[in-house]
This record gives sequence, C-alpha cells and structure tokens, in this order.
Amino acid sequence: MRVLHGFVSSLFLSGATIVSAASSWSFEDATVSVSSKGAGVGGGSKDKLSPSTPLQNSISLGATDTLKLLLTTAEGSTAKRPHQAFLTLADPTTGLEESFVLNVKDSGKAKVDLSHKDLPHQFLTCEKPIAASIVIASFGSSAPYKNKVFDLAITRDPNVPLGIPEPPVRYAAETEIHHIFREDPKSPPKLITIVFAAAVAGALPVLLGVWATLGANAGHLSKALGNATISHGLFYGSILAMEGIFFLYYTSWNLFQTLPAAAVVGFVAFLSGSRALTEVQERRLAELR
Amino acid sequence: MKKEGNILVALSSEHATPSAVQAMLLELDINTPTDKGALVVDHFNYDSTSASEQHDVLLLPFPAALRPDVKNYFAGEGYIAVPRAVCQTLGNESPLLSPILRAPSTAYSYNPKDEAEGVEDPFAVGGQLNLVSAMQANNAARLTVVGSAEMLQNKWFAEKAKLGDKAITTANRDFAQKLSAWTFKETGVLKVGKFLHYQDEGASKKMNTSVAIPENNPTIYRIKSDVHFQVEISEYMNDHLAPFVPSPNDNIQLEFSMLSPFQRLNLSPISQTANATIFGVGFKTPDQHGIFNFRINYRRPFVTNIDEKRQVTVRHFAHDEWPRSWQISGAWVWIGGIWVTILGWLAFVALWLYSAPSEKSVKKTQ
Repeated sequence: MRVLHGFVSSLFLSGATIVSAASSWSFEDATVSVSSKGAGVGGGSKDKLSPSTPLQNSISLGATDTLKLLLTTAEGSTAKRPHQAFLTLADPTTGLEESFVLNVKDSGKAKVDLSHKDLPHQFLTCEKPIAASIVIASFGSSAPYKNKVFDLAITRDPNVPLGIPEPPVRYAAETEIHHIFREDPKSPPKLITIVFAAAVAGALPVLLGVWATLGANAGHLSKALGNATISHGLFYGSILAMEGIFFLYYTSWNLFQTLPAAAVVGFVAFLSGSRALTEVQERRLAELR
Repeated sequence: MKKEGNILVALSSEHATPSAVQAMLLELDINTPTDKGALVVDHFNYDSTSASEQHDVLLLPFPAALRPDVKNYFAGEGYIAVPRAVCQTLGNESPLLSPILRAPSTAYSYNPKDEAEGVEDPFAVGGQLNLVSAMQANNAARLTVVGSAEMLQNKWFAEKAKLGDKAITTANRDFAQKLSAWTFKETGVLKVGKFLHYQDEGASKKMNTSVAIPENNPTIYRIKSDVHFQVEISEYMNDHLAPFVPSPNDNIQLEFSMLSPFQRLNLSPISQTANATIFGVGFKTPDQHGIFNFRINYRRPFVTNIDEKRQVTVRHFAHDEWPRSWQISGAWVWIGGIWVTILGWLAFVALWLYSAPSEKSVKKTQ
C-alpha cells in the first residue's frame, strides 16, 4: 500500500513543476449553479465560490432543482487529483453531517450533483440553512483543506408530504404523566340552598299555625298526666328517645349500638303506650275528645 | 451473552475479520466493511510521527457524552491513538447499540488495495463511522467492538505522537482501562437497595429523609391518598458501591401503573448514604381503585437496566370516609326537611294525645 502510493505520488511529483512539502490543498474555478427543471437554459442561479470566504447569500434549492458544483482541485497552485474530495453538509442545529463524494478526474476537475432525493430527510425539514463545506485532502504532508463555502437553504413544496420515518426507540427519560383526577362533585350556590332550606324550615311554623287556627291545644295535658302520670311520661319520653337514638345513629353510633337501644326504647314505648292509649280511650269514651 | 457473559471484540485491518465474527456483528446490527484491509483514514487528525504519509493513525480526543442525558463513562484528558482501525456503522433501529468512539467528521473508510486514485465509494464517512461501539443486551450482557486491536497494545499506551505541530502523549492506557472496565461490568452497574413506600399521614407533606425507615411497605392504599416513595440506588465503581448520580439532564422515573401508568413522576435525590443515593417522590394515588404497581424502569445506554416493581392494592373510599351530609351544602334542604318532619311528628303526637276538643269540633261531633 505504502509502495503503491509512493509510486503514484512520485508519478505526480515528476509531472508537477512546483513541489513543496508544505503546500496545501485548495480549489480553483469553482462555480455552484442551481437549475430548475422547467426553467430551461439561463434559469436558476450561478455563483462563483472562493476557497477563503464563504458566499454571502445562501443558495436555495427547491424541490425540482438540481445543484451542480464544479471546481478544480489543486495542490498549491497545481491542479491535481486528491484522494478525498467531499462536499460536506452539516445541520447547524443538530450537528448531523452528510458528505457527498466529488467525482474528480485526473486533471483535478471535480463535480457533484445534488437534488432533493440525495438528501436525508432531516435536511429537507431543516429550518435553518445548511452549512456546506468542501473537504479536499490526500495522503502525504500537504495541508488538507476544509472550509465552509456556502449556505444551502432547502425550500420544499409544503403540499407534497414527506415520508419521514418514525423516530427509532431510544432509551431516555419519558415525559411525566400526572393523573388527571375526576372533578369533585359540586354543590349548587349556597344562596339558593339557604333560600330553599329556609322555605322548608318555614313550613313547620306554618303547619303549627294552621293547627292552632283549627283549634289545636294541649288542654288535656294535666288531665292525662293526672290519670296516668308514669305511662304518659314514659310513652312520650320514649318517642323522644327514639328520635334521639336516630340522631345518634346519624352522627356517631353504628348499627350494633343503635339496635339494642332502639329495642329497649321500643319495649318501653310498647308497655307504656298501651297504658297511655288506654287512658286516651277512656277520655274518648267519656266523650271528652 | 445469554448467560450474561461480556465480550470484547477487537478487530484489526491487518487481518481479515472472520466471516463468522462479521455475521455475528451483523446480527446485532453492527456493520463492518466486507472487504479485507479496509481502514479508516483522516487527513486532518493523524499522527504525523508514525503515519505522516498514510494518515491512518488517528488521534482523537476522548469521547463526549453520547447525549446530554447520558452519563459518560469514557471521559478523560488527552488524545487516543487509533491506529489502522476497522470502522463499524450501527443500525438505527436498536436502542441497545451505542457508539463509544466516533470518527471525526473528515474521516472516511477506504480500502488501500483499491487501485483508484481518489476515493469514490467510501464505506462510510464522518461521524457515522464508529471506531469503538458497544451493545448492551436486555439482560445487561455487554459486547464492545474495538475497531483497532492495536490501540490496546502496550506500544500505544503512552506513545509520543504529533498532531499537526503539537507534540502529545497518547492516553490509550486510560481509555483502554475505562473501556475494559465498562465492558466487564466494573462500571455502569446499578443496584437497587431499599424500595419503600408509605402513606403520608403528617400534616407537613414533607418527605421523610431518615434512612432508618424499615422496609415494611403497606399492601393497601386508599384512592386519593398521599403516598411517599423512596428507592436507594447505588452504582458499582471498579471495586466499591457508590451513590448513583444520574446525568443532570436525566431523570429516574417512578411509574404508578395498572396496565398503563397513571402517574409517571421524576424522582429527585433526597439524601445519600455511604454507598447509595436515596431518590424519592410524593404523590397522590389516582382516583381509580385496582391493583397497582410501583415500578421503576430505568434503562439508559451504558448502565445496566433497573426494572423493579412492588404491587399494592388501591381501594376506594370506605363508607365512613366520605364527607358527612351536613358538610355538603346542597344537602341542607333535605336535612332541613327531615328535621321539620321530626318536629312535626313530635308535635302531632303531643296534640293527638293531649288536645282538648275545641268548640268547633264539639259542634261537629254533635
């Protein structure tokens, strides 16, 4: 391998007029042109490239356009064919790079054609212009050349869908998921509740008032208590106690506390109730009701 | 590799890669050039002492982190010499593959036996070339492919070299040590210690950072209750367990899942012991009852996988855990109705028992 290259380079060296160990690679007569399919001759743009300074304006490449880069590679000032002659495109945001090999003739004349179908899809969807640089280098001690020469702005027809493959699986932290809780049940506005609660509570005085106008009274209370003090007291008391048990069951008691208490109170109500109601019946029979 | 064995494959451009090795690498989606003797050259970063003409001894800085959220196990100072490397390209599909050392952007692979004066159809160019690549299987068995066997030789461990006009000493000893340490699981091995969760009953809702909590995890939680979770993770470093510190952009995540995750939360380090970091998070159980898992599934390039889970039951509210009816303002109308009914009933009983006949009713009965 070493021998082969030594031989080839010595061939070149013999043909070259200026041989310098410190010579460097570069290019000459570079033009970049963009031609559209339908535009015919003279359509599109054409720019001269300089090895030292990149082009001011970016070159735009549409969907049907073809970019053509023509240049002559040179070592020092001699046109010569290098081993490596690439057009390297680099996405400035992601750092993705793709190199296109220049087709170089022995005379150093090199060319490369680019169109959308040559580019990876990441470049086609790139927002910013892509930096295009030229790499010319070969074996031996000549300094290699790499410089940015122009910016390439890719323009796409937004109506043509692009077949972008699904991004492949990579192990990384996934997005956080926070459970979305169902909404708590809501109550109607308190004002409405209070108005209706007041209306319900107001029904009680109305009821008592209507009873009063119908002649309700407690006139026989002393008579009844006088006839059967214990049973009346116990009966009405047990009815009150039953309501109290229900209240306790509502607020704090469980069923097993409630049932025995209710049984006791119910038994009392049954015994005292039969006596008390007998007394009421006596009053009715005495035509006092 | 099925038995969790680790393999270091070293290729060399001076010997043809056996087709069996090539086929094995191809099965793992690692492509190597098929022609014998293909090697990587770079006319920009070569050692001008030993390869001034051929440019096939590359001098590269230590690799940077693969991604901002991946820990770099191969960082170091200085330059690595990669003499006459066989390159690899990695398939894009598998998450198990990762490049360790990439070629610089101006490098390319070619076959010196190729008679052509210029490179016409290179195997791959630039950063797509891997000089050292790695594969970690699902069972954490590791395979490292080193493109250049020479770079592991004593000759290159601390060789004087010249990059451009700069005289340097290669740091291959350091890189080879890191590479073999990683391949044979001396670094990048994670171990899970205590894995605990508990109901937060305190008012402050602060994480308990004490390391002395025993691992007696409850088996049942109620929906919508506050739960704290902690896990100890340590990393094996050459000869001891050290607290694991993930990359600053990375997060260890807890999933609280029934079939699919209901909560996926980033854990934050809450304290450290001598050889483990305690990561923790507090959260509310979702409003869905069922059998849930606390699951940590941590898979990243270059570290062994963590997949731990603990099952718990999440029950719904018991009958006495709901708010009482008087706390619900909408129920006040109905509660008022009940009270009115009770008072009306008591008044009615009293009237029925004790009411004296009024004039009207006497008339009526008459």
